[in-house]
Amino acid sequence: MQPLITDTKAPVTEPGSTRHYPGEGGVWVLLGGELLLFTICFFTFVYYRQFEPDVFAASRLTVNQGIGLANTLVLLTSSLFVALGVKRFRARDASASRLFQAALLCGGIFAALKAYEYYEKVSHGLTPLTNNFYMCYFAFTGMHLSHVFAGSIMLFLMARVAKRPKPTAAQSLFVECGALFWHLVDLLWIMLFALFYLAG
Amino acid sequence: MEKLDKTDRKLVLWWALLVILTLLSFEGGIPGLGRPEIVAAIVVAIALIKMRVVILHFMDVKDAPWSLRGVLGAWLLFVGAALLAIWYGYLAIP
Repeated sequence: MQPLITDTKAPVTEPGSTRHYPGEGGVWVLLGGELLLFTICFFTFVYYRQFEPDVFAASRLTVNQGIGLANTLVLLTSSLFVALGVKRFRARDASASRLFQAALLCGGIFAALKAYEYYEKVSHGLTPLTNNFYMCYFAFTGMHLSHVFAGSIMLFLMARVAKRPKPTAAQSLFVECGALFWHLVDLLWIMLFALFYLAG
Repeated sequence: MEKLDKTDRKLVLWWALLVILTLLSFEGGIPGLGRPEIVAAIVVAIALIKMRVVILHFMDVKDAPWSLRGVLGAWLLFVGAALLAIWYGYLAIP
């Protein structure tokens, strides 16, 4: 019987071309779906803003800029760790595991900062019911946070796989796809940060 | 951890660019950022550039088939243009 996954690096495109889908074609369906979901969120935000731009501008001034900036830098750094880790993993270098663990730590820092940020907002009376800006803020950064949690579980598993001397083809594919998912988490935050914290 | 090789250094440089762009788009990063009305456009444009860097260099899409690169690039442009068009009132979602 043919193995389900053969050469994960095999070109899936034009013959003679060396271009290949990162991960596997199928994971891009997942990534595309997530991008679509958050694209709807971005448009929902600017939709509501149409009707009360002053409320949105005033509310933006009340978000915690410092935490927003810190979280952005934390996720960008975690993406670097994951990109370096995948390279090391492909070379069967054991330091890949430590890099995935470092990225996981970044995920934890992001979640902790977010938790504090939400607590701070709520304790100042700013909740999803306060106005449409804050409804969007809690809903969309909350959805993003759930993706951080899912990605963190993947990073934990990737760190474990990366310790094995002989990962299977399926495990290697999981590492590649988990890395892509984490970069997606970073990508989405870049736009959320721009809309909620900066664009005013 | 071993020394960073050439590819590693490239990844670190892209990361450094992302950090610099982030700081530039932050409050007062670009002094005054000109007129306050254009802040949104600048901030979204910088976000798109950052997203493109993550897609091409961290997600390895630079080596992906052109169909994927095309779809992602088109998505970035569409999202940026449409968000800003609505933001500035050139387009309305009823």
